[in-house]
Amino acid sequence: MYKSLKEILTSAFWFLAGIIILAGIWQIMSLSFSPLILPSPRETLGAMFDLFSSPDARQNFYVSAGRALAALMAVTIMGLGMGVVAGLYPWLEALMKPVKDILLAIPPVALTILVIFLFGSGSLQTVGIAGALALPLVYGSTVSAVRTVDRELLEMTEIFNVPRKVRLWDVYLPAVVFSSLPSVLLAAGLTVRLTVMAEVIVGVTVGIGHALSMSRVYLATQEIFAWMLILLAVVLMIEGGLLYIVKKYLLRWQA
Amino acid sequence: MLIFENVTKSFSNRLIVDDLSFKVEDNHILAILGPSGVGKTTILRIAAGTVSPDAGKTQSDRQKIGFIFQEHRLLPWRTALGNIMLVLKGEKKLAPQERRQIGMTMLQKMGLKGFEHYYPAQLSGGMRQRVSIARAFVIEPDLLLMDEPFTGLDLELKASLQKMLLDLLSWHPTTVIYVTHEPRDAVLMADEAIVLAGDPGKITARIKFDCPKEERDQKYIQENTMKLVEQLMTPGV
Repeated sequence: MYKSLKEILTSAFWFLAGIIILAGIWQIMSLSFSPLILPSPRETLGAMFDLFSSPDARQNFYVSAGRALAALMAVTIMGLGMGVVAGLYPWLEALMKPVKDILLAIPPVALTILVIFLFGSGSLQTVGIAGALALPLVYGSTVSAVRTVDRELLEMTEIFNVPRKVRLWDVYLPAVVFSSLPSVLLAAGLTVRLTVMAEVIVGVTVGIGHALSMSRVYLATQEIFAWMLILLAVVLMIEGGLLYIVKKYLLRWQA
Repeated sequence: MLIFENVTKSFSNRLIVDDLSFKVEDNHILAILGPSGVGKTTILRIAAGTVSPDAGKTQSDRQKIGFIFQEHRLLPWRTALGNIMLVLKGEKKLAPQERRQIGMTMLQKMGLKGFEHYYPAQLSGGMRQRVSIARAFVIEPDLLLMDEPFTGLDLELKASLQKMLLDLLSWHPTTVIYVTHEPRDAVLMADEAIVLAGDPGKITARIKFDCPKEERDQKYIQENTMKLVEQLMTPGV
């Protein structure tokens, strides 16, 4: 199951090659446009280092990260909890289906505008929007996971008279958590993206979304690109980091 | 004693077993043989209580049921020891440390000392089946059900597991229903065998093996295996 060192190095090589090719295309294109429209990779990296050294930018980063983390935690707890209950009781799943369908079908921007109309703007609203939009992902996969818990394992526990509470903790919960992990990992990246989008539309006064809005107003295109690179790195690090933790500590049993 | 009395069971309007009656004496091993689809596993499920008969009844005063499945059915996210301790969690009088100790002792008995913290995916097929056997015996069952537990194992491994199982049964004698499609295995392990045939499954033959297991020589095994094979070849009722 585990990749060999050669496989890891090969995939890392091609990953780097992909980055270099993209940077090359970006560099070539930047020669044809004004830096106000498309800054070069070098200018963008310079802007990125400027952001790192700016206390305001760091504050924007930390606030957005906090919001995204809060949204992810809410999505994970609510998605797993509601998914387990709905998976066990089909009538509850049917009851929740309209809400799930609405959240899946309506464009994120429309929901954001609706939230602003109904609840105004602020941190809580931003977290709520990001959470609500990512929730169906974890919820849906949890419902499926509950439905596909190995019947043979459940029959085994029934024959051996394993108490219900133990069955829930030792069979249902691990099966559901392990099946839902990919969706939680996806939700991690998604909540970062949705948080920033919600910040831009809601119009918060601090956060990466706010910084992006300001950069747009002042035509600081290189800063917009720098924030995009930072977000990309953050999403990759979150997904990679979570995947590492999951594989090392939660999926040890998959030899 | 376990008694099946005129047991009938259907699934999706298909009659699987019809008017089936047999009994298993205390601490005896009853082998059930027959072709696929004749209802052997259904009988085990009825005996285990996970399936209720449509008609007829079963009589048993069994409290603790051990089951050795064809496929090990171990929790993949629990270690060998964790899988064994799982079935002891219903034993409220046992402290976690005691459960652990009992589990360790059982693994040792199965020749799995040093593998207690291995996950099923890290064990070989034979080792997984040994954990599965340990799980069935750790509760000290008063009824043991076995559903073709040696299928897919090579001959050498099968022979060693059969010996291990008979040793465990001499350490903890219990009533056993052993479903198999191998007549020779039935002669080696059982005190009595019934042959099922037909659709729905009915008993077409009963053979008692009076000779004690340790005294069964090749000739005895060969003769009785042939008897069972003949019965299995006979068209169903």
